[in-house]
Amino acid sequence: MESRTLKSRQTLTLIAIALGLVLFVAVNVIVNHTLRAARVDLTQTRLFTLSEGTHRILGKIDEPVTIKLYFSPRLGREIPLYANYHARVRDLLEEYASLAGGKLKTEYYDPTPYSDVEDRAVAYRLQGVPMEAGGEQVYFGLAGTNSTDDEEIIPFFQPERERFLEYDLTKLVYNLANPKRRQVGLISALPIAGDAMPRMPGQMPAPWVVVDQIRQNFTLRQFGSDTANIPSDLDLIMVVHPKELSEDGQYAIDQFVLRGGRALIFVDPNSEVDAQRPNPNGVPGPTASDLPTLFKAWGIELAQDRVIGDRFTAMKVNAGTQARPRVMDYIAWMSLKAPNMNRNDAIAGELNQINLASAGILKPTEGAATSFTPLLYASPGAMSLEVDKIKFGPDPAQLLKDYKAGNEQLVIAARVSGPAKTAFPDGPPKVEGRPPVPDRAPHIAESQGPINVIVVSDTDMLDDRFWVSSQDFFGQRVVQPSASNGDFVVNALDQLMGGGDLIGLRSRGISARPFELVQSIQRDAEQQYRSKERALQDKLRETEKKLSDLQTRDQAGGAAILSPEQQKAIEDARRDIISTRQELRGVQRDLRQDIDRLETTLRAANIALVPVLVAILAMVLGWVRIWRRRRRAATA
Amino acid sequence: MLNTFTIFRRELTSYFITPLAYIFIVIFLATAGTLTFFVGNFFTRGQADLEPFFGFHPWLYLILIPAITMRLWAEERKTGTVELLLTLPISMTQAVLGKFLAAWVFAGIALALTFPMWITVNVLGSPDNGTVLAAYGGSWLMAGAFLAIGAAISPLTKNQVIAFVLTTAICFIFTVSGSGLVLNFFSGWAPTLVVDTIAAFSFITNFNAIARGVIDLHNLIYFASIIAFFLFVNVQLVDLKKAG
Repeated sequence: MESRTLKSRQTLTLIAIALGLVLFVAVNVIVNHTLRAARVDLTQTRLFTLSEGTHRILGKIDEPVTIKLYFSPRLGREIPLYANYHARVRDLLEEYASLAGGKLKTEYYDPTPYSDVEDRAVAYRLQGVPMEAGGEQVYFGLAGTNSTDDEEIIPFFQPERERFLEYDLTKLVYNLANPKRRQVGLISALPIAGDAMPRMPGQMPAPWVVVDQIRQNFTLRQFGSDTANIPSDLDLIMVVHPKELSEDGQYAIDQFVLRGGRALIFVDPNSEVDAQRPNPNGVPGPTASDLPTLFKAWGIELAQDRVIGDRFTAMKVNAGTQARPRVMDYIAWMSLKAPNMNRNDAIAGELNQINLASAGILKPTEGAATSFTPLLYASPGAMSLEVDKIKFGPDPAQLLKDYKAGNEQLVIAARVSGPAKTAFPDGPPKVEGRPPVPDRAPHIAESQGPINVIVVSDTDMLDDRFWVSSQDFFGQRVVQPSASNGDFVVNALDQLMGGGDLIGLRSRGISARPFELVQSIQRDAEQQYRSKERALQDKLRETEKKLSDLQTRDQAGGAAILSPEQQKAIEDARRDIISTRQELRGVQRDLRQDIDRLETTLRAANIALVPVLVAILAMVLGWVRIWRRRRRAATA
Repeated sequence: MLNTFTIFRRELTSYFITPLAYIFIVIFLATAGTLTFFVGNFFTRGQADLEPFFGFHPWLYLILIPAITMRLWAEERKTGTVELLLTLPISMTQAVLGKFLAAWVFAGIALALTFPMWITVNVLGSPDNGTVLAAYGGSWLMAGAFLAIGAAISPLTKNQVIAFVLTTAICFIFTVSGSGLVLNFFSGWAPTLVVDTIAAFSFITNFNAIARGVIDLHNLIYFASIIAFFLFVNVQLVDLKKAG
């Protein structure tokens, strides 16, 4: 009888547990499919909350936009990371659709192998990735279309770019909703849009990442440095490193700007990219660029043969050899952070970091009618350096040793606006024996409205190696920015042309949070030890020279036997060299010592400190308990 | 409510009377620190966040939490105190809840004692403290889920070793259920809905989602429902064993 009740009780328990399990699974399945957008975003930059810009862009869609997401479930099964990311992309798209109020439609497809859906994914040029060599392809991409049959795609969603997901999607929607692309003209002495003549046979002339980024937002049209006419249908002209810009070209820019065209200009007292380019004639050409005539008319100037050295934003470089690296600050390479940017201006207002190499100094000319708004500037205490000091094999240690803090604000990039007069008061430049340029608009001597120009005194900031790393993902270039250089350029273009919604969106994702304490210890230690190291190195060199002098003198004298004094001198010199080397090694070791000590302290604090305290507490409590028990026993 | 609190207090005090609590805390802290610095390369990484620290939490809990829960009911059964406990005028649910809450608060204390990590990262740089807070919250929730599973297994056996091994095994399944290893096993025959559901039932997936700095309602409901379900199982099993 009793065993039967137990049996039935067991059955009841099992049924109850099974029902509980069903309820548990059901709740989670339902929640997973319905409540995806309810969340609290605790991140500092609200990474997972849609920004104002996205809200505005989605609210302004006129013509309907359709977004088609292609995702192979197999990819999610084999690599769960992608399943999670897919869920996030889908959530976000649903949120977009609800914000766009019916103007944005979402469709989801499973491109199973050899299906029509897969064919359509391929037709959209989405990236197929084989799960195993030669096996079936999986997809995780997106295609967007609008009513005029424009197409925008994201070929493959990379989880590494999750931080930029909102930007990528919003930009895609924006481009579809605003199909008329703005036109940017480019005049560049650097192969920024891809090299016209590949230097290595078979090598594709890849454009710089910054140009890719510009092309995603605008239509880019290239002009040669001898162009005499800038078409008036351009919205903006971007000039990069104008070192051999013809008179005609300068005149064309002058007139374009006076007529209300916008300009973004990159000059450089020392373009390191240019200096590194192999020269066909073998003779190194000039690596500086400037537009003195135009700048004067606009009320600015670039300091001649000067670059900025800034100890406080200096980047780390390896000043040793590959085998024995010696990392130290190089003051001519700067990594600008928030304090070096004009936060009140939308262009740099939200950027986190901009990297520059040997940037120049911009100044307003006295009595200029235009206003000069600095956008990027060096730290207080930065110095102005002669360009020759860094042009040929700069010595970072020597630069640090000779560092003298300046007391001026050195401006790297500035916005110039206001009324301006032409730089060519005598009309278009005349060249002997050449027919006049056709289709040239009549000369104007003064700006019709305020001019709008942004000037940046560094061209190296456009170079990939200073701000971006790219890797090849099945033939597709995947780009990981480490600084916001590209965003700065696109922001500047966008701002100059008057579109602002995308600005706040860009670059929200870059979130490098370095150990600032370690960096400052490193800086201080370097200051302290570098001069000592320098002195020791000088001494070493001197002694080595003395030794070799002694030895050659002996050989020249032809004496077979050295006098005891000579022998002693050589011995002394040798001993000196050995001890100096030892000292030098000591100094180099000291450089890291403070940081190593910090690491050891932190390790100890985090691994042992609290456990030891807890153990002591346990022992004390245990002892108290025993003592109490004994006392109780004694009194009893 | 009051009864639950009484049980809770009795249980929590009992942790700190025996050396168990101290040993657990010492091992938890030392292991977490060691893994963060030596395996996670916290310092050489040079980034002011606690990713290398929180990344090890699921695995630490996998080994350490069953050690707390294995004695939760098994010991009471062995020493016979379970009969005593159940003759008291309290309901089964109150007893189960009190015991669970005590263990959860205890785990919370151990977790809170990792505060030097948080100080360290703030001294070294400027971390996103919102993300750190979310990750701590997520970690504590996950600890609750581990504890609930362990608590449910505990009354099944008088043998603590068996309780430990069983708990670890089941927790392991929950920990890795989002990984390709497990999903591949199901993907051949089970419908997509089932596979997706299994993938969504992973501790690591849900914890990582919270540790990014976003507290998503469905991640919260996931952990809450795990805790609720296993506590329900716990009540059922204790009830059954009492009858038996």
